[in-house]
Amino acid sequence: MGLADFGGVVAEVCLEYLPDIHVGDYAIVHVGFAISRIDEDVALRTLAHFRELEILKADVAEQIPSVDGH
Amino acid sequence: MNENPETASTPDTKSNLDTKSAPDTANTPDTANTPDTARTAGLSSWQCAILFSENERVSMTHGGGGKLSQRLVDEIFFPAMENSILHRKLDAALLDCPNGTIAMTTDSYVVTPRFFPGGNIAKLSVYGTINDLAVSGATPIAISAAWILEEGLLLSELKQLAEEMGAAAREVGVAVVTGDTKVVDRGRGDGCYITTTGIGIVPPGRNIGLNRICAGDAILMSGTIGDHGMAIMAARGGLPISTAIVSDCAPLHELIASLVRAGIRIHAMRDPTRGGISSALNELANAVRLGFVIEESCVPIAPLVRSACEMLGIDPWTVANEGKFLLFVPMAESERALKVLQNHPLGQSAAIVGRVVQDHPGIVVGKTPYGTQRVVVMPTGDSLPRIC
Amino acid sequence: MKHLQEYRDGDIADSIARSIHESTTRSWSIMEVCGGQTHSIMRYGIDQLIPKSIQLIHGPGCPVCVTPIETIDRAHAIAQQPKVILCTYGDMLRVPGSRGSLSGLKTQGCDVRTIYSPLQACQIARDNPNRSVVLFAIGFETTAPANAMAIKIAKTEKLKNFSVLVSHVLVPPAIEMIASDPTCRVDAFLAAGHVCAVTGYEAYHRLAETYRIPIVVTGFEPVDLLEGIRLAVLQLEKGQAFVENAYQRTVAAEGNPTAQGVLKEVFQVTDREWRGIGTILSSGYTLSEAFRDFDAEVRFPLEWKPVECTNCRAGDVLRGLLKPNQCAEFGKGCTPDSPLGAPMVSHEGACAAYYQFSQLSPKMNASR
Repeated sequence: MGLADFGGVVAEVCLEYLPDIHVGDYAIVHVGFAISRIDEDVALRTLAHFRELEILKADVAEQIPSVDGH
Repeated sequence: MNENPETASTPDTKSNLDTKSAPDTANTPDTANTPDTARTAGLSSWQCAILFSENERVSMTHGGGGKLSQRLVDEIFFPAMENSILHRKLDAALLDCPNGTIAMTTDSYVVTPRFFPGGNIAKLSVYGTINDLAVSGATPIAISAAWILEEGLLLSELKQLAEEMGAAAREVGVAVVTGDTKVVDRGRGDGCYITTTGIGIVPPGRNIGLNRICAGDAILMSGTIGDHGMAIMAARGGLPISTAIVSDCAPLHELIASLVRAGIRIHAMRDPTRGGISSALNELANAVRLGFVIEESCVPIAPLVRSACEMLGIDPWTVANEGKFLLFVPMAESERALKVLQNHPLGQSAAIVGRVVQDHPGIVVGKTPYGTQRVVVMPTGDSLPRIC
Repeated sequence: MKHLQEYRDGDIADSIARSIHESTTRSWSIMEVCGGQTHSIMRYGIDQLIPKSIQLIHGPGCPVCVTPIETIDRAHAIAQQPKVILCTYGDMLRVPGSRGSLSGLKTQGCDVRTIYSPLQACQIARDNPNRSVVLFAIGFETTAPANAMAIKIAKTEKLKNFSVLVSHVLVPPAIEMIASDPTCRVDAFLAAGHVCAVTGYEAYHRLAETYRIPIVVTGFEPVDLLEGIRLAVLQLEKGQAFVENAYQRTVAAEGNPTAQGVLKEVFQVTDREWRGIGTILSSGYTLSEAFRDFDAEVRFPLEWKPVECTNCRAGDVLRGLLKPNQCAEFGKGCTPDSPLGAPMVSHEGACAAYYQFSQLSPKMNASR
């Protein structure tokens, strides 16, 4: 068993299914069991990918001039 | 808790006061001696009279109307709630009433645990009743308290609760003017239940009520939602969680009085207790046959409450509040009303959360941050942790 | 909370929704399998963000909805036995069996307790050695490892007063049943992210190939759901059909091997009846030989005849063959206050969701 912090709410959580989990890791917890470790690198990459979509949208909408002045 | 829109009725003044009864214990023949003894000991001794032993418990006899009943009154309730009207020990409290309408409300409190972060059952029983009066536009003047005690309750805890009630009543400036005590067999109660009845005066000319809610009104929330319910849920045990969530348990009459003083044209108010704002908004929308539109991102929720709800799969909109109210004012007054609320310590996180519309009568619609909408449904019952 | 709030970002949701609009040229039906995803879709109005030509079909992934009436009745009968404490998850309480719901039993004095984690049931068994504690073990592959662990603990500690009523269901066989139906209207599936966190998604490759249907592993937040829909639409528009992972931060292809090991040890695969749908081969768990002693069905051999409401067409709704408002009982004999079938019970049940929407705008609902 271990303690998990859900944004300030601390709960006792069974960590049996994540033998490699470390203090500071993020995990998906279901009915009191941590079942999956969140891969932070992947999470950051995914968000960066989403932001690209956003920038694409902005490009289309605002016709931002390119940085090198062309 | 009473969530009926007609909580505060306006009965005939005289009959209302006539039907009030003092504690049963006041009628018992052998009460004469004990109060005398207490009186000879002097009033000051009432403040610190610990005449019972540390481990003494409530017994069936405490509810029997005999000496022990009297001791309960003299040693626990009277010192805690000492005031001139209670001191008269009449069957009914006789109150001088200035001109105006009498408002009256009653509520039972059965919360487990009895002590929780931010409050306790006794404090709650005072504030809750005061709030029911205040949101009806009444100025609270007096409350009664009926206690149902379970055999085995520690007298020291009872004393503490009585003191909490007295302190809460003094804080809000109303007197606990009459009361009653009953004891039930061990196993038939939950330690202690409290019923409070409150009366208040609605000054002449004050016109606040559901009938005044109209399309175009702004809906304000006086602060964050869900604090009380989640504090109780965490304190209740059973859930393997710990949090610093504190109940919002507080009296609202001052905050409401500040709106009145500022000349805000209040159309209606409601304290969203059990069932949370989902329940209160649905009840009101249904009663007035108008639609409500709530901007979800405007509804204030404390981060900890949000996290706890998230974790347990509970909708914070369905969670109880004990120190907040929904306010309906004309749209033109909404910004000014918001400023008044935010200037008071109990209204710091107040927000304009929505508006009243002609469309979809009886239905509460939530506008999401994505520009989409959903129907906010009446909660079905207890908020329960879900698995899917 | 971190890794949560980011996936509720309105701007990101907006850009993904826009991208879906740009990519969509024709109408598609996409089924989200999991009840949790249905809940998020209703909660955030995701269906209103995507093109009207994309229809979201709410699948059979609400575990309480598909728990057979016979099993609910069995739980009912067990809870009425002397000294029994029945432990269940909150969502199960109100689901109607043929003799009423479990919450109804509570008012009759039966000891039915709502738990947050199955480990609480173990604790209740330890605390009440003279009572018989029965865990009503429902759920998909996400919940099964937790229940399996509770059973393992009971065996290790020799908790003789602990047993389980197992009604676990498995997602891939249900997807296959729907995909293989000749009348199937589903063009793509959003696979349940948290189920896949346990099982991985290797088993889905065969389904995607065999039935030429895209399967996108999808999370539960608005951004996750939109991204799942976007990837499904891209595949459909290109005529592709493969397994894609839109929930990479949580789901690995192989899933959680430790959890899979315990599932294999405690359970064995069996045919399972799905309420309203019928029996699906190899679609559920029962206790393995080594744990048979903890089977509540063995400990409480009770007999009765369940009666399902014949007018309820929940099965057709859950398979995507019928819209809830096309059912004759919808809003008449069957409402959230007095439900005939499970999808009308919880707010995110397909029928209840339609019912709420029909209140808001009857005309709009009819055209959907």
